[in-house]
Amino acid sequence: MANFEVVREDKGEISVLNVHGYLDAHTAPDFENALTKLLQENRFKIVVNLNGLQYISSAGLGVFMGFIEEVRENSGDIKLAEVSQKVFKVFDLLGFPSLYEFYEKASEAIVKFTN
Amino acid sequence: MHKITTRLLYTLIPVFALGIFAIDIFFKVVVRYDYNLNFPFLAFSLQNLRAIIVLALILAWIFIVKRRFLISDYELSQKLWRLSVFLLANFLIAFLLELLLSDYLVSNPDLQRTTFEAVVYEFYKNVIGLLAIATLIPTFMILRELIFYKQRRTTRLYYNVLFVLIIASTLWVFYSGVPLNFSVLWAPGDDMYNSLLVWSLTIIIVFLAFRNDWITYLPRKQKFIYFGVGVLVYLAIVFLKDFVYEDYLQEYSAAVYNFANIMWFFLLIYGSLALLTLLVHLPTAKAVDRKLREVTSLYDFTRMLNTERNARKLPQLITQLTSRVLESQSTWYLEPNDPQRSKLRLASHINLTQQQILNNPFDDLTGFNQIFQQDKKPLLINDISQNQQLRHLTQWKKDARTLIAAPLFSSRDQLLGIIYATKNQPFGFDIDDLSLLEGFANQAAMALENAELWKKSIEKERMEQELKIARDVQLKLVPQTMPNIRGVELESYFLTAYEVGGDYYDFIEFADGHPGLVIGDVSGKGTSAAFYMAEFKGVIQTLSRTFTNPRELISQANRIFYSTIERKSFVTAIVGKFLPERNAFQFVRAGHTPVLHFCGEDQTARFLQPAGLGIGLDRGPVFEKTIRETEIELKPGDFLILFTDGLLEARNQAEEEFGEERFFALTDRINSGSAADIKHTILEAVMDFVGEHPLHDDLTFIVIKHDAAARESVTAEISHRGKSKLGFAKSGNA
Repeated sequence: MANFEVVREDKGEISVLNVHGYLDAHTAPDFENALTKLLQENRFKIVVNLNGLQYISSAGLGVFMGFIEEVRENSGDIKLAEVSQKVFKVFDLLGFPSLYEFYEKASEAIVKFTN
Repeated sequence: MHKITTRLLYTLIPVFALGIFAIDIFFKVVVRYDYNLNFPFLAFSLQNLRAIIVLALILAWIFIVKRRFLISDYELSQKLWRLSVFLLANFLIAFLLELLLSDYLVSNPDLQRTTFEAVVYEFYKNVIGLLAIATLIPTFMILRELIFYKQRRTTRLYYNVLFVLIIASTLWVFYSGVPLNFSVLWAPGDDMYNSLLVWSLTIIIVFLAFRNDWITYLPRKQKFIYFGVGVLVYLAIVFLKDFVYEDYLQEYSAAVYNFANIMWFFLLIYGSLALLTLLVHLPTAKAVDRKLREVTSLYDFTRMLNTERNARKLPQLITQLTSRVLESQSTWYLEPNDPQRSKLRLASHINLTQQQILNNPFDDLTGFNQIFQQDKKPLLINDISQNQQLRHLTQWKKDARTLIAAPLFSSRDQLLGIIYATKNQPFGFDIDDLSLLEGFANQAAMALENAELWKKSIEKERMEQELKIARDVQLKLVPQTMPNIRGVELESYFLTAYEVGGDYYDFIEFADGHPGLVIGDVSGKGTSAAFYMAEFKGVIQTLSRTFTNPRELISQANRIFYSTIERKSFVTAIVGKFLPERNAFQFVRAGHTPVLHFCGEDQTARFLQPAGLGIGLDRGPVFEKTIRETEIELKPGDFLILFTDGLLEARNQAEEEFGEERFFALTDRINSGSAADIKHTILEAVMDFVGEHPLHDDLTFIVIKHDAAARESVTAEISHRGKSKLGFAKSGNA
């Protein structure tokens, strides 16, 4: 199994989480921890850059759902960016595009926040 | 058989003994030494007969000793005791008898004046001969046992050589008529053989004399006893030859005399060395004894520890046994109290006052306890009051003077506990106690780990049992039989990868009486997924009675589920409705894997993926706005496959997924045949692909095939009645 890694990058009040590897039931807690930490720091404008994500399971999809409500209640959002074709299919199957904003580039998502 | 033989021999031995005595009397009294002149032939025959009887007597006795005495079964001390008794008896009986008969006993036959004196002489001679045979044969066997107590590579060889030498010397004595002379060290000529035999006997006996390892294993008390007894026996041996054997035994039998001589020499040499070794061992006897006791007690305690399966009882057992092993006044055992393992708890104790328990200074991993954490070695403080670090301990426990302690570490180097023991006098424990405690602590650590493993395996077993029940329940939640739905053939497959899974399918009936089906997959795996699945089934079954179309049904299910399900969990599902009158299948897809549609007409397969969110992701508005209902008409040769992601994501050994391409390729092979054929082809292909690799997700699929036979029967029914009630024939004829 490939490793999983979340690298955080703060840009003003926006945080970018760069996700790499396999996001499944085993690695989901790592991703959860990263998001929990952001929420603890009252950072609700989150861009998740999925550029390096190779695989996502239902447990991985669940992580987004676990946080989105609290984030939006605090007038923030989780925006997804740079999803590969293969991984996007999984998001699409579940109907994520009607719940989350997807962007080709992380920078576009950041711009969207600043506007 | 043996019993009869031994009984026979018991009667024969006195007969032989008396026979020898009678022949001796005959020669002495009746013939009076001139037999050679008067009865040359008779004398010769009688002499030979006597020699044969002596041999028979010896053999019979050897047989009885071997059969009845069972020397090898004796304990070491029993062997030594019998050896002493035999030798002392030999000497004392001969000595007392000589004293008793001293007035009439004349050792030189030429000086015997009366017949009575001659008879007494013959009697005494016979008694001495019989005594020698009776005692020396078992003695020889016991000596063999002692030599073989700890057998080495050459032991048997040396012993066999000795045996051969005894036989050879006996033959030599017969041949030469002269007994072996141990005092002649070297003489050329005829005596050369005597010297050769004596020298080789001496060498081999000296070799064998060093085989006295049994002395080490004698308990201390017995070492002292047998040293005392040994000195007495040794004196008896020294005098045995000159006082007892010398004058009479040679007259009784040259062979017995020769054997007695060799035995005497053997006993003398072996006895000297044994006594010397015993003497050397006496000062260390106490230490050796203690070491042996420690080894056995350690063994016993280890066994007690390892049979205790209850981890909660172990601390008590550890202090009890430590206190017994070390004979300590106070003993206590500490174990980590918290997950961080920085605090220690007094788990069990012996001889601590309530005050001392409350003020226990060893309650965290600092100071003394820290030393153990780092060094992992036991510690001995000979005098607490003289120790800089520990002097304050005397305030806590005034009577303690010597302290010994050892840490218990798991095989993964985790501190399991620390055992402490004290004595009330300085230098109460020594270096041996320290190594003993170390060994004991290691064993105790192992016992603790074993008990923990035992507990875990019991828990695991119970968990497995419960999972099995959950699985049984879950398997009952999916349909046990296929419903008969007009116009379609149905087949399904359901397999959970874990004990319980999140996959689900069911058949329902809509409010308007139309049959329908549901296939779903709860996110996550295992028990929680199974619970949601059960809930989902209940919700769907209930709602189906009030709704007539899949879109409304699933929208309501989403609203209900959203309020109950954990935020990060969701369900994907397809809810479908059979419309036999239009020969169609109407369905919605709530985030689920697409439906495979195989078109019989143009022999192509495609995925149907109408829009739809997973259930439990949205409160309702987005879900209801997104979801699309699709209707697909089933023509002859058409089939649908509804499945869960376990099918496309089934992985092989190389971690490759089964995938869409393989799935599509498969449909080419199953374009004809029944729904059952299609099911088997899919299953076979997936299982072949997966191989030995275990399934990591549940696997569920349903095959819905247009039923040609049903259509014909419907057509027949329609033509017969002349009208179409179901609209089935219409589409069929179109």
